[in-house]
Amino acid sequence: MIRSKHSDPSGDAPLDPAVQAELDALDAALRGDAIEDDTLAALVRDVQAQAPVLPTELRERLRDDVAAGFPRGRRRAAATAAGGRSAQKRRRFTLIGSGALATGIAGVFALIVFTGGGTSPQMATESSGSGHQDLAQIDQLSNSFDSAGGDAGTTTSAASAAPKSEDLSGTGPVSPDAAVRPLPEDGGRGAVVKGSSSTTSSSTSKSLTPATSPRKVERTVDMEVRVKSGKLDEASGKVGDIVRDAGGYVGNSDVSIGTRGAGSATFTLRVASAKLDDAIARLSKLGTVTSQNQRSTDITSSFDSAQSRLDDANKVRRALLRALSKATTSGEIASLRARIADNRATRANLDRQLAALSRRADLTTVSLTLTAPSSGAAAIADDDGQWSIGDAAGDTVRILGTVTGVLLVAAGAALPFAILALIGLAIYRVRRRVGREAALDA
Amino acid sequence: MSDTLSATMAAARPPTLEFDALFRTAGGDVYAYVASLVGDAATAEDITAAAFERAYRKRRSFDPRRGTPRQWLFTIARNASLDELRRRKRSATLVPDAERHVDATAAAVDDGGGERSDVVRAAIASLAPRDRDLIALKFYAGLSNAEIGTTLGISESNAGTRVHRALSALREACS
Repeated sequence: MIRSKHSDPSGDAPLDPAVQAELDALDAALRGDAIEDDTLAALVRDVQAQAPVLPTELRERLRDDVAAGFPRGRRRAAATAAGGRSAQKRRRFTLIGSGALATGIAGVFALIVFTGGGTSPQMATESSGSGHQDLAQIDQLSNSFDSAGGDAGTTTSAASAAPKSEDLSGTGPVSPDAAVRPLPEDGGRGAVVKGSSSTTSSSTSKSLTPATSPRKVERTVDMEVRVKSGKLDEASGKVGDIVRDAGGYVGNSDVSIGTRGAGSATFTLRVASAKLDDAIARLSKLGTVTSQNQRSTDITSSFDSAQSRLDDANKVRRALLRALSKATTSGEIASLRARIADNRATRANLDRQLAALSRRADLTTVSLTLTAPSSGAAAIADDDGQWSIGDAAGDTVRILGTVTGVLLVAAGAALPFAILALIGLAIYRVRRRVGREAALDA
Repeated sequence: MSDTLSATMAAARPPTLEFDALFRTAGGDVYAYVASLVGDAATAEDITAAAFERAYRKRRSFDPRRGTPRQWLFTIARNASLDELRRRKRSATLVPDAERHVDATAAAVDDGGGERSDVVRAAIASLAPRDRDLIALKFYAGLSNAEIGTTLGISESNAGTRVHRALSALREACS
């Protein structure tokens, strides 16, 4: 008789020896061994004789299935009837859940990839010659000159209405109301021009376009430079040095430094045009140039126009002085002095215009914007647009970091659901087990 | 590949479940047990076939440290049977279709043993479903008390106590 081990691993009390002996006798009878308890032996035989017998057809069918490896589809109906339906549902839900999770992760990754792009620097250069702006400026300057020289216009009208006019360069009497015109370079013969204002305009337009004057070009530059995180203050300090070396000055500045090394600074710089290229090059070295816009406007015609009018005004002044020296009456003297004063104001105004135009040409306005990203975004923004091994390694590390971050976030977000799912699975298994056992009590 | 390495790899490989041998030794017992639980022959045939197919599909998940192949197979068959009972919302009657099941063996009991056979059949039918389950696991499935405990999720001694109680009830019903 074989005795099995009956110690209780869960801590249950050991079986009573009499019970144990009867169980051992039962096991022996079931194995076909002879036992002393004839009643138990007979009972075992009788109960075993009641065992349902596997039908031959099913036995052969199952033997074929075992040999064939249970080909799918042949026993689907039986499997469904025996609870296979729930297994199919579980597999289906598992597939759907896995697909949804994979789709979500792929979507988040694609979102990060697509929204993280577009950091390539953008360069734009615009150049405009002496077009409509120049014409407008010329018109504006002409109007300014006409306004400043209103006396001359008035004088011209008065001269037209005068009964007679005399040559200023001649020896005759000089009428204070006579039209005074610039003297020609030939010594002033016939310098006094009597005519309408249209003649004056014609004379003026001839003097606006000297053929051999040097070009006057006004330039403006807009620059945006991205500096490293935390380096904005240092870069802003270098801007002043660069501008001073370029013979200019800082017209305006606004520096704002935030947290984590982020910030921005805007400068309005005036740089000597002759040293503009050197200044731009040095400013570009402060960081990565993300955009640069340079505009050029030819103001030569405006400058020449103002210069010509100043020359005319000087000639008028000399003519007035000559006329004054020859004036005899007090009325003539007073009138000429008044006109000389007006001429002085006109020449002063033209001097200011010429000085302003010279400054516009000699100094270039540079609008500079420095930006420093936060330390977190610095790695992404630090791209000079050229590929290198370091860039590739950096991209790899960044992508791996991003993927790891996404996975961590996804795992963190999914953790409560996973815990709930595990709890639900445990509850489901307990309920299923209890339900199965309860099926015997129903 | 050296013999030592081959032996090491073979030892590391999980043992292969001899499913064909398992079917040959346990096929009839599984049917007898399932039929005892669900009560009718047609359902017992479907469940038996489904249990074997399920066991075949999951044969790679069999862990010999958690029980014998026979106990593992009867656990699958029992779960399938109980699921069917739950689905049908009816209790198991041990041998309602007794004539069909016992026909093949009735003549072999003994000459004039038909009355004794009816008594035993009635005694089994009078048992509580849980006792009938235990009797079927013991007499038809041939599981040890330890295997029954594993199948039911209870300790071996607890399983022995329950089997003894069911045996006493069967003896009393037969007397």
